[in-house]
Amino acid sequence: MKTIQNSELILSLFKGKIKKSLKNTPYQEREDLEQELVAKIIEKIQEVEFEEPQGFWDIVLKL
Amino acid sequence: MNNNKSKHTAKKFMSNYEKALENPLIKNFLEVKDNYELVKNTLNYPTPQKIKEVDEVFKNYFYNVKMLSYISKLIHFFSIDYDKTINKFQDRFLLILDQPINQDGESNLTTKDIIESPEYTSLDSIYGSSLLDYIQNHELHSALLLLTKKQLEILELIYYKNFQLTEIAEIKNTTPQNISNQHRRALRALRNTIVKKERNFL
Repeated sequence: MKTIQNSELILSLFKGKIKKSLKNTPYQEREDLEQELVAKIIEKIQEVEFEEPQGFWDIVLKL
Repeated sequence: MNNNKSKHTAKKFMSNYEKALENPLIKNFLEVKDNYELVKNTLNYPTPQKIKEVDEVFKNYFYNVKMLSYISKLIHFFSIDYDKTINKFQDRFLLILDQPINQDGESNLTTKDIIESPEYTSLDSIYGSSLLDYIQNHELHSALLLLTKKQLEILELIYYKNFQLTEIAEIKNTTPQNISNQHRRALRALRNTIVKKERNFL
């Protein structure tokens, strides 16, 4: 299966969201949080496994 | 003849499964042109191989959607948790300069606040003096550069100088409505540039 495993691509997609989530944190901590977030994301991308998704026809016929 | 009949199959399918097509996942999947063509082609000229291919492509798509939504939630909750931890830590281990001066805790004044700065430097001399100098986000910055000079000026007056629309209208010798329109158009242009860039990734 050709899936998104490319951390760099995912990080670039979520760059805006990461920046936005920093806003709740005091500015002294923002850089730390950003780094932690990026590390966490990379870790999870490699780690996480979803169950096999349903096929197209299964879903269409069920609905 | 054959062609006519096959077109019919796809149409019939679309109307039979209208409800399925309203499902956001299916809908978004079919909005990608390649996927749509593939499904249409399969419905018109079905072969076991093509049917399997649709399934594969869709599973792949579904997986990516799951992944992106997972990461999105991860960012949201991780940043909240991180913030909580930091706050707890800082409450417990206050730095001397951050401690409140009166112990009763009524006043927010801290030791840090009463230290006098050795000399006053205007922030303007450190940072720049235009809107563009304050933009950290590269994408936003390059999108701003694509605006017309007039639009940029208006954004600068609104967001950097904090002027009212009527004041800007007076400066520019025009009506507030006109300024408002230009402002809206500028924001839309910014949004379009950035969204287009993100689309190209997917």
